[in-house]
Amino acid sequence: MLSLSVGIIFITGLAAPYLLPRLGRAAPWLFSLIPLGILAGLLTHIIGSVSTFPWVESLGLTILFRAEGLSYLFAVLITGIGAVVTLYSGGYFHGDSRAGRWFCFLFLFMGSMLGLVLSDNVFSLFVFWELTSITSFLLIGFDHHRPEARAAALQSLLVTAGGGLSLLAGLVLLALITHTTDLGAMVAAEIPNDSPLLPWVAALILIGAATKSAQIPFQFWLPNAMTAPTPASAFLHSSTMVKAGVFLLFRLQPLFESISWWGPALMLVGGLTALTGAWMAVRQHVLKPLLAWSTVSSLGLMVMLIGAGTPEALFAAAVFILAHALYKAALFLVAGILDHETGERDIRRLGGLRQDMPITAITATLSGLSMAGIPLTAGFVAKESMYETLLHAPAYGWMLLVCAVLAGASFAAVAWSVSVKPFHGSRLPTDRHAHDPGSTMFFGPLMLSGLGIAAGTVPSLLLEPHAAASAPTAHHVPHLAAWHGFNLPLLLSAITLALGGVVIWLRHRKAAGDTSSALNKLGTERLYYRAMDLLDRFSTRTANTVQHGLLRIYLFSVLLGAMAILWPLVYRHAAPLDNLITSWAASGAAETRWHEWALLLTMIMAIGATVHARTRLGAVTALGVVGYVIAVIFVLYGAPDLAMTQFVIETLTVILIALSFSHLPPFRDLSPLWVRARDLLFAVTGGVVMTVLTLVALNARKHESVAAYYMENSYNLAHGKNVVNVILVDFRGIDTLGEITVLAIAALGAFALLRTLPGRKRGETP
Amino acid sequence: MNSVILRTGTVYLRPLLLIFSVFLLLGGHNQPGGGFTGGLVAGLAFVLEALAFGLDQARRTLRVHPLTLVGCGLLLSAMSAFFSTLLGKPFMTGTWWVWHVPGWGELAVGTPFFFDLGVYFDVLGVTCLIIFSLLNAGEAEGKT
Amino acid sequence: MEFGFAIAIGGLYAAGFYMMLRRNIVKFILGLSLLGHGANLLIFTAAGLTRANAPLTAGGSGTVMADPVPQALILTAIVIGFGVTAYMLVLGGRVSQLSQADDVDALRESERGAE
Repeated sequence: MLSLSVGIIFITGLAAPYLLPRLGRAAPWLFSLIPLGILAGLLTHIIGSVSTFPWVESLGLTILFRAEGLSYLFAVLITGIGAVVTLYSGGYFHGDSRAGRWFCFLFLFMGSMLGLVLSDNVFSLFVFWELTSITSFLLIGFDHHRPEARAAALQSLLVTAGGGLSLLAGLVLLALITHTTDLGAMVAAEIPNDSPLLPWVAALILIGAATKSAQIPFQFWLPNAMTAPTPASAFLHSSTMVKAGVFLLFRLQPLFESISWWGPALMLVGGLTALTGAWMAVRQHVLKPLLAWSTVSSLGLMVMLIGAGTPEALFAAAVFILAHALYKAALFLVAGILDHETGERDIRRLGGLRQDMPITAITATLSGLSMAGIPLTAGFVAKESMYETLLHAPAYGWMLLVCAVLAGASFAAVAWSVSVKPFHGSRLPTDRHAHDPGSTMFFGPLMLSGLGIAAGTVPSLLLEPHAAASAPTAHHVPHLAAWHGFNLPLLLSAITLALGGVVIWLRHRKAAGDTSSALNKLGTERLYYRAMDLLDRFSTRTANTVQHGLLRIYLFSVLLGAMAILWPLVYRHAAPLDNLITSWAASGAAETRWHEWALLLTMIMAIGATVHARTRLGAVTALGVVGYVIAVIFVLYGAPDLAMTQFVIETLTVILIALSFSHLPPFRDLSPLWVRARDLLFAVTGGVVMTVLTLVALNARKHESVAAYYMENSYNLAHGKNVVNVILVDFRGIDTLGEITVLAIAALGAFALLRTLPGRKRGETP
Repeated sequence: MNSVILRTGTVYLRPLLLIFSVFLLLGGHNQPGGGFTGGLVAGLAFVLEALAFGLDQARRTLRVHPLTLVGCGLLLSAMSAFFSTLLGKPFMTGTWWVWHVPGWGELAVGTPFFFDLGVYFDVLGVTCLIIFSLLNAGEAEGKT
Repeated sequence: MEFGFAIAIGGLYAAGFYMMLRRNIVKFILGLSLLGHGANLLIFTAAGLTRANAPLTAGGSGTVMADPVPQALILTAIVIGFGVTAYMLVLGGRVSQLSQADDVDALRESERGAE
């Protein structure tokens, strides 16, 4: 059932462009029913938790889907938010001719992401991982006529797919160490602590995860990816795909616990990312970059918690993943509504929209409360459990706490910027007449926001069961409560909110300041551009050196290579060759009849004439003579079929050459003398090699010819006495079928080339 | 090309070449010959005609477009190759029908014959297509 | 006899190599043709030369016959070679017509990347 679910999503995606115009207004609703149905199946456990699907059976690869623990949590997130985003897209792309393409990409992403989290086989996981990178590329570059969208799409693809290669290397090594390709079995496998490969595996996988989840130093692609249409940002770049790295680190955490640097490395990377994201977020004034940097910060916190490594920390991370997905997706969708309805993205020019957009204002407020971490919201519960965990963390606890509090303060400030600032205060004028969007667009975000509040009020309803499922050890799951009483975490929460208030006040004072300095790229992005530039220049230089465009030099290289391979082979057989030559010179010469010698002599003279001819007609005639002599040889040596074919072909070739080049001047000496001498030397050497090769080949027959079989069965099986013809049309007929196809293609090519009249083309060339 | 010898020769050569090509095709299974050789000889007949009497005349004699010949030839060969799969045998297995004709002996007709016929038309079409195209381009060149 | 054939094959190859390395497009195609002849003759010779009858089974079981396998191979090669040569001729003719040149080196501009 699980593989069927993934398959249905893919099929829906491929069919979407065809279905959309036929379904009309109901299309988004119907499309969203598919992820919704799968979500319902997952929640009610109608869809089983394990499903296998044969993939490459010869390699023993099977796609094993398993919806348990963290995979289950992610599958619920993907289908749930997927349904919301699908519905929302219906409004967002209403009347847009690209809607079909949009739904196609969206569902392909959804299927890939679902496949990623459900895969139990690491290689199918990798394939889906790269598929999400590719679909993300397509979605970021959706407005492909905008250069910045193309640049951002390419950047995200290069960073995440590049990281994917590192991940692949890590997974292959891991499969070698653990002798299994099943993720579940890998985590459970006994690995000796001193395995020299394990740290490499950890490092490679960490790089892969860090690129996907926008951790330092790969953080830059995520804010740039905000050129994607907002539904994609809400789905891919806040709630699901960017968490794939977190997901993987989470799943593999038990494997790497024994590595001393693993936990600290994650904490360092995560903490730095959290702080950078927080700092960048509060300096933004444009809705989507603001949210994107706060997403970077949140992802940093998740990695940091995984680095802390205790069961409580992992549990807190799972709670945070869920809470963050709920409020961040909703806020992105709200940002999309604001952009869509008012045409304005800068929060400094938005204000007082409460009256005109009441439903949007309510949605934004509910999600904003959750993001800021006000009690009775999912965000609050997640933050409390994070602080609680970090207070008891075995190492670096207070440093992590500082990171978490600072990040939390920035979240509060961001929440204020997105959900309070645009809706309150004095009404600022907007280009378009602002009003609430249609039901397709507000329904989803409103529901997510409501869920955030419900989950925060009764944590045992939604947060606890789903987060607990992902905890590595079933016993020892902390209890989540909406209210823990007055304790240290609550004090920290209060401090966080107070700091957030200070940030808001500072921002308010500096509201007139310019944002260009805030958009300054961090150092690592400059590295990216430097690398791209170098690569460009390197490929240009290589291409111009290797692809110099001189046909004869290409050929010379090819022939030189062929000779370099042939020479040693021929040389190795040189010893018996002496005998060969002497024996043949003795027996062969005596046996050879005078007309045969005359034929050979004629041929060699004709070859010389072909090379030496000064006119085209002369060369063609000489070539014709060579062909006719070969035809006579075929007659003399028992091959009448070949002889007839050769005669006709030779005639046709001569006619062809005469017809094709009538417009050209006679031959000139184009190459200087020394080049001709060099080529002649090379050619003669090559000819000698071929002569020796012929003699060696004559002596090299090791097996009986298959001819005997054909001779015997030609008449019995194929009713034919001409064995050559029987081979062509019966025994080896499939070769002939291929051959006549090639002939037909060659003729078609010639026909197409000649059909465009020369007079028209010539006018274009100077 | 406007040569009396070529024209006169072609008038007699063309039917001879065509008959010879059919002879090569039909006898090819038991004597030297076959679809390739036959198709080439037939092609040569039409090329000669085009050279001696002009492209239009050759096209009229051929009646169909060379491309049609190429396509039909390929199709015939492919169909005769696939025929055996209809009978549940492997791809390209020869299927034969044998009659005993009084005064002749055994007459066997099989899918390989139709395969060879396909080759004949394919090669004939390819030859005519290339040479006719070249002549056509040459004529267009001359006009401009 | 084989010895004489081996020399002829070497000559065909040498002439083919030399012609293919020329800058004139017609010479290049002629070289390709020579190379094809050389390859055909090489296969024919290497399979064993015999002045025997054609491989027709009607001759009875006692008669010595030439090997049909290389013959089938070469027959195919000749016809394919014709197709390739014809296509090359048309392509070369077209290219030289458009570029008003018979020098292959003159065509390199289309191969070069941006500098």
